[in-house]
Amino acid sequence: MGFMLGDILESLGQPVGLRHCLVFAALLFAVGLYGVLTRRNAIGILMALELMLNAVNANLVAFWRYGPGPREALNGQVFAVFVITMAAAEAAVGLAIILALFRLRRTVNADEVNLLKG
Amino acid sequence: MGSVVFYFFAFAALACAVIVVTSRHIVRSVAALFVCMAAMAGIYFFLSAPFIGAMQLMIYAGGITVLLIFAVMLVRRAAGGQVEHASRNPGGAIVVVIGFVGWMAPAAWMAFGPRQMPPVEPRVAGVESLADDLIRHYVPAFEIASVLLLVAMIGAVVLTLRAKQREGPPTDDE
Amino acid sequence: MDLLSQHAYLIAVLPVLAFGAVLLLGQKAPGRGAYLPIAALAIGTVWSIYLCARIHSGAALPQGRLLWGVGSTGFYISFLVDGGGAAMLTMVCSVALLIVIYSQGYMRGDAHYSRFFAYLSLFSASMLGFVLSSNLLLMFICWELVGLMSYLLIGFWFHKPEAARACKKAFMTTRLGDLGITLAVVALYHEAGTLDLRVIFEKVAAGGLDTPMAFWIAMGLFAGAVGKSAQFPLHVWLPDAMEGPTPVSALIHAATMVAAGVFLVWRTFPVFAATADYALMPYCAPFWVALIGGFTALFASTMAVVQDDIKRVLAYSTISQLGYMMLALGCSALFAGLFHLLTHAFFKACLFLGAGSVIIGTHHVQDMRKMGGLRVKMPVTFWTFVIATAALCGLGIPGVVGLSGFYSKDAVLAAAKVAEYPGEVAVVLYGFGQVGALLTAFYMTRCVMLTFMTSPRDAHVFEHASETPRCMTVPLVVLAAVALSGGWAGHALQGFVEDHPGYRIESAESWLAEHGQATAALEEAQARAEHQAHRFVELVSFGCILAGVGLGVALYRGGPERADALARKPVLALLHLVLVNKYYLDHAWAAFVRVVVRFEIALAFVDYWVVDGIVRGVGWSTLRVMRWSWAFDKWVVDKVVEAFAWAAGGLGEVLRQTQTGSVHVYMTVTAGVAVAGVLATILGSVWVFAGLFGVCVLGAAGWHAALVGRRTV
Repeated sequence: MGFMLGDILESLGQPVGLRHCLVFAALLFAVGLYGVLTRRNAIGILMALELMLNAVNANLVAFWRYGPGPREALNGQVFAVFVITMAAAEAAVGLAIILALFRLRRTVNADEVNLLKG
Repeated sequence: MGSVVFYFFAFAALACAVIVVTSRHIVRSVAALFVCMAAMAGIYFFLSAPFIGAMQLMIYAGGITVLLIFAVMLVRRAAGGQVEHASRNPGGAIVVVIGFVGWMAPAAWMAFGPRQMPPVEPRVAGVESLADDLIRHYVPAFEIASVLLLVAMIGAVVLTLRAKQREGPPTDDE
Repeated sequence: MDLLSQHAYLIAVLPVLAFGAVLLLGQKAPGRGAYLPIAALAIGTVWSIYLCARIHSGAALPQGRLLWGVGSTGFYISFLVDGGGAAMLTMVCSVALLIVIYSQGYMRGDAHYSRFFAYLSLFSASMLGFVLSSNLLLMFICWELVGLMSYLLIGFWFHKPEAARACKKAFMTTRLGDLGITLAVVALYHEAGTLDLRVIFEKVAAGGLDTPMAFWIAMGLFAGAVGKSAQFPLHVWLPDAMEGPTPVSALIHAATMVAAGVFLVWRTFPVFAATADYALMPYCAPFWVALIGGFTALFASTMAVVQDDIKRVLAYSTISQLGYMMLALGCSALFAGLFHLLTHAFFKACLFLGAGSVIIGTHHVQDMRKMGGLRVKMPVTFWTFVIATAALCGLGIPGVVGLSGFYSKDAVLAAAKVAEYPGEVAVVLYGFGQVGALLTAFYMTRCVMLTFMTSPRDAHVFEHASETPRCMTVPLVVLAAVALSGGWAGHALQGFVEDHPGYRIESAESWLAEHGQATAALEEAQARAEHQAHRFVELVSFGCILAGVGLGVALYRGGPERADALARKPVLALLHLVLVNKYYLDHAWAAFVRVVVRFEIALAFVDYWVVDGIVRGVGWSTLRVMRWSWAFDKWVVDKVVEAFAWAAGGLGEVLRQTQTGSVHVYMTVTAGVAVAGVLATILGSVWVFAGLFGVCVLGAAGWHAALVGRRTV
């Protein structure tokens, strides 16, 4: 595999490269994923989702930064802008849905909302 | 020196993210999310994307976090002060997460060699070039994104609008 | 046509309304139910007198159609008032009016006082409808309604077993005759294609009916008339019908309903006349009418001689007089028959009401043997009774003047005398009538003697006897007045009934034109009889009446003892026995009924053991087959279906476990599958990838199914 603890320790001393950023983004995404999967509270799930989106954004910006030519790789930043836009919209609508759900069921616990149960 | 900045922000972001997904107090989660977003903005600055970093601060740290706080306060008030915020069923999630990290991190690590940060031309990385790109090459996407925002705004308003004349306990079709 | 003529049918409708109102209101109706019928009948009386005047003045006959039938069937409700009809209407309305007034006194204190008046009202309505109708169907309906009301009124005191038996007997006996009329109506519709009398008569006049058919139709109609008018074989119900209240006897069993049979023959006479070919004796319908009528006239009067119940004397007298009417009709003397019907209605109603007055005055004594000398106690009843008796006997001074019966009965006898039947037959018919007249004078004299003259035989009855109230005596006086003077209107009535260009006469005339010779001779003979035979008949009748009255007075001057002694003489004793037992006719009928019942029992036996046995056998075997079929269905077909259902249900039970409804589970599975899929690709194991892909597809399908199910539920 060529992937050992020594390599990691060694890389910490290296200047920050693309792979550092990618590993950071992967870890952040994993944390967000964990949150999405475990949080009972819908607001908590939403927050974890924001973490995952940020991990994606970090990836996009990193690929732009370390990409081939800055001129061509400017797309990454633009995508990041769109992702942020979408995240804002998603947060607004998601919170509105959560409030409506709360009004309806007096709860924001996702596992208490099991209307789809067969 | 640059590495230290990156690691500082990265560890801060990760630590805060862990707090966000594990804390039993939802307000604490939101606060951690705020710090996490700010740390992310630092990373963007570090990556020579000041505009994205600024947006991150404004939208995430400023807007979305405030929005979340409002939501938390509304729900807490209506639910009588306490909001259930415990985690559940972490076993399956841990397996999945370990699977993800165990695949993604080595893959990223191995796919891209030790690459130095290329020098960035200030003009290219600046707001002007970004704006030029957005308006020139990505106008349709830009317009669609703005429409999306508008729709989300109206949708949020409609979803949260309370029926005024309705009386009695809420029913399923409300 | 003026408004009153146009709506002449309302004469019959008004009593129906009165009936409904009294039935609904009960005791709360005006006069406890008496006033509404009285008002309806009073209006009807005035109205029908007006109609008479209109017709007399030569106006068009009142007629009209009220309801159209289905298609061209000719079943519709239509009415027509000709001269005879108008006279009948007047008679029915006025007699019914007087009797309803009288009933107020007679029925006083009865538990079902108002219902009685409701019944009387509906009866009058049916009778009027019968007279008004110009369609055989409506006539038949009214005919049956009249029979029904007769049943209800005879059995009005249904708690008396005799009354209950009598009403059943009356209904069943008349029903036997109604069988004939039903067949006749059906046959007539089959032959003529319509039941409209005018159309039928036109067809008959045009020779549309062949003789045997017309004969059987006529005999069917006559069978109905025999039942309703209590003629010879079917007369047995009328004496028993005296169990009903006396006003009922007066109205239904003397004046109107029993006259319905006569009126039916009178109305449909063109059908009878179509067979009046005397060369073919057995197929000559009028001959049978005359024979039955003449025989009944004599036959019933012999039985009246030995009756002790005052109402039964009058009942047999009524049968006898109805026989006279039939005799007249059978001799083609239509007017004589109708005339006798009208006069008889008044004097017989007067006699019955007088008898009712006696019954009330003596506190429900009907046996004449317990009466006697009542003329002192009940003078009004006595004098009206005597006048009506004289009218019934046909008393009068020949060639000068007489009571109403004098004119009508002599007209009947004269018609019989001159009837164009072969020699002996005509003599026999006339003899029946003449001997009957003698007996009539005798038994009526006996009745008057035993009831009012002689000395009181039962001191208790005599002591407590008293004259009846005003509302009962006034109708008596009115009826007696009509009985006294009714005959004087005979000539006017004859012109009125016969000369008017009504449909019936029109048809008869065209029929006469058609059948030339024989009827011309008949016409001539009738004209001859008017001038020559009438005087002879009057003289003979006068002699008979004097003889009858004289014999009666002589025998019963001192009470019934002398007559009783006479009845114990050897030959007379036998005769007396036969008469008291009504010629054993009731026994004969009972035997006949017993035979019929035996036959029916035998039929029931066959039905039960043979027909039912076959049916039961088929049913039993069908049941067996069905059991097997059922078992196959239950254990094979059903089990297969159930197995499928069970399999589907079990599979669903297993699969639904995957649908937790928890978003966490879904997300975990989704993320896990995605990660595992990517890992598998990287590791290069195609089989693992394929397996995971299958899991993905299954998961997506399950999810989709869950969504769809949710939506539909």
